[in-house]
Amino acid sequence: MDVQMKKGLLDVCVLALLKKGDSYGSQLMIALTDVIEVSESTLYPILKRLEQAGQLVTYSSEHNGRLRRYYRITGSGIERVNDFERDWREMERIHAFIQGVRRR
Amino acid sequence: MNKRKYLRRLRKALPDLSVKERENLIEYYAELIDDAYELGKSPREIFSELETPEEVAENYRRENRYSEPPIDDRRSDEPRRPAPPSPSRDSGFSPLRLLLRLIGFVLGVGLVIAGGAACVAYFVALLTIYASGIFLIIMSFGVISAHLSVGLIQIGAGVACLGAGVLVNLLAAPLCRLYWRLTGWVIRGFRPSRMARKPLFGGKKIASCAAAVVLLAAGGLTGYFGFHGVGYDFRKIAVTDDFIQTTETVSLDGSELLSLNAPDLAIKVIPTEEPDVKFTYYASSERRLERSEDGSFTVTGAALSAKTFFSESWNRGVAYWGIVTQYCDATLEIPVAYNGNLNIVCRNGFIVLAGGEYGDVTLQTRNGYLRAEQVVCNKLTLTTHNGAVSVRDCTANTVEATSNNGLLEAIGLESGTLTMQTGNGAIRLERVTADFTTTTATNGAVELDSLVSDHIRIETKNGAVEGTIRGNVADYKIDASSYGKNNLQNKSDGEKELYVRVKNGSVEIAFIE
Repeated sequence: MDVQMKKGLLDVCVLALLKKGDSYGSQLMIALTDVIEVSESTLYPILKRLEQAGQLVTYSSEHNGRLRRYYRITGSGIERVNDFERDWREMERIHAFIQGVRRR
Repeated sequence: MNKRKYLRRLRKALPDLSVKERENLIEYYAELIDDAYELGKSPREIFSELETPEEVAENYRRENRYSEPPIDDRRSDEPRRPAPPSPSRDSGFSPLRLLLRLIGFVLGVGLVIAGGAACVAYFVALLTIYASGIFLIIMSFGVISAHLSVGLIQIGAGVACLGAGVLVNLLAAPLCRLYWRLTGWVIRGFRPSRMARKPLFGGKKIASCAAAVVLLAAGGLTGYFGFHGVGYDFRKIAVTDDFIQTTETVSLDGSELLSLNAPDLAIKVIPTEEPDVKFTYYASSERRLERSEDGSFTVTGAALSAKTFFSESWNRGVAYWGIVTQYCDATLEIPVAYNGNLNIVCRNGFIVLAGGEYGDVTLQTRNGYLRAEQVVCNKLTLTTHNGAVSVRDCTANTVEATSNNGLLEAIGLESGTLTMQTGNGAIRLERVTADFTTTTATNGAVELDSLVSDHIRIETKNGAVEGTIRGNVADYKIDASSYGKNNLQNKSDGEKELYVRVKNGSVEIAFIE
């Protein structure tokens, strides 16, 4: 898969996970590795970038006597996931058209 | 590899990043490692799954180049919006946060000092418990061959001490950890730590618990057999003589001096209507009253001294001293008709002289207090090294009270010359009437309450001088000096004399009619 496409997809995957509820680094990591190959050093810049883009926010909460950083999706992040799903449906239509042309 | 080393390597691998960026990344990895520990992974698993710090740094740089223009992720038709402020804990300045940090720091310093002192006290106490246990066990080897029961009691007590030490350590460790956690929370401005911490009651404590229980049980059982052997009589947990309360009657035969030397007795002297002197004390085969040729009395035996401490503990059991000291009370009854001199000397006990009329009286001890009440005499001399001296409602031409370490007090005293001297302790004069009054203290205050005296000389190095003198200030020639506050004004006219010297302390004396 194209690297840039993969990164774009990872962004949406992260946001989609956060759409279900707030989460933290290692939990996101475990959930993502089931779907797509990703390393910790890849995930962190994605989280940072999404935060800078205003698509998620971070907050700290105490866990077992230490602070853990949690991530929460913003309205902009939800909008991006919705946009992706809309685009993907359009891509599916185009994909179906391409397959139809090939069969003719 | 461990967390600390991994993070240190990661920090070293990122020298080109800003401090904030680097610390954020390190914090992220610290959280990942902590989470992995919580999932029950071993360090080997954790660090084999993670990329090496150098790889992380390389990937981060590469990924960051891609993400540098964050706007790349935006759809081309989407209007540009400024990123909202991050609610991350590191962002922004908060006056409340600053205030909490300041309060936390001030409180934290106090907590650190108190905690440090408590820790020292705790370690000393723990060390004492262990040392006592070992001492008891070692000393039991001396007595066990001749007196099995006494030896068993000592061994039992020693083993139980060791068990108690282990138990105290088990209980105190979580408390200490909790305290330092609380202190850390306060110092951080009432914020929790970002570091993973050991659980309060974590660790392999089962072995220690088992050891404590076994030691306590073994100690208790051994002690039980020992006590059974001595018939559960606490007076027999060491090998001592049988003490029998004895009263000996002695005729003074017109003697002008009653002298008693009883090194280890605490003596109370009271007047009696009987014609002869009566001395009541606990006698044994070793301790008895003897009269020497010069007519003085000496109580021999059962001496308490540091020199014999170890040998007696070894031969008779360490409880020997505790038992012997239960039999140290003595009473000396002196006929009221006796008006001669009185000389009482002891070493490790107090002396109380309760009433009577005498010539010269000398009370002397080393480790104990001295008290004279309602005594009328020519000269009263009281000397101790470690203990207080109290003179109450007495009348004497001359009174001399001396202590190295102790409070000196005279209440309701009438005297021609009063001299009081102490090294470490205060001096208190209440309703005292004396022609000449001299008080000297090195480290202690001097307190006067309605002192009546024509010639007063007060000296102390470290302590205040305060109180009231009965009389008119105009009658006194005053020579007073102090490095501290001084309410007296020096003057050279006056029939009476007041001399005050204070180095470190204030002088506050009022004259009352």
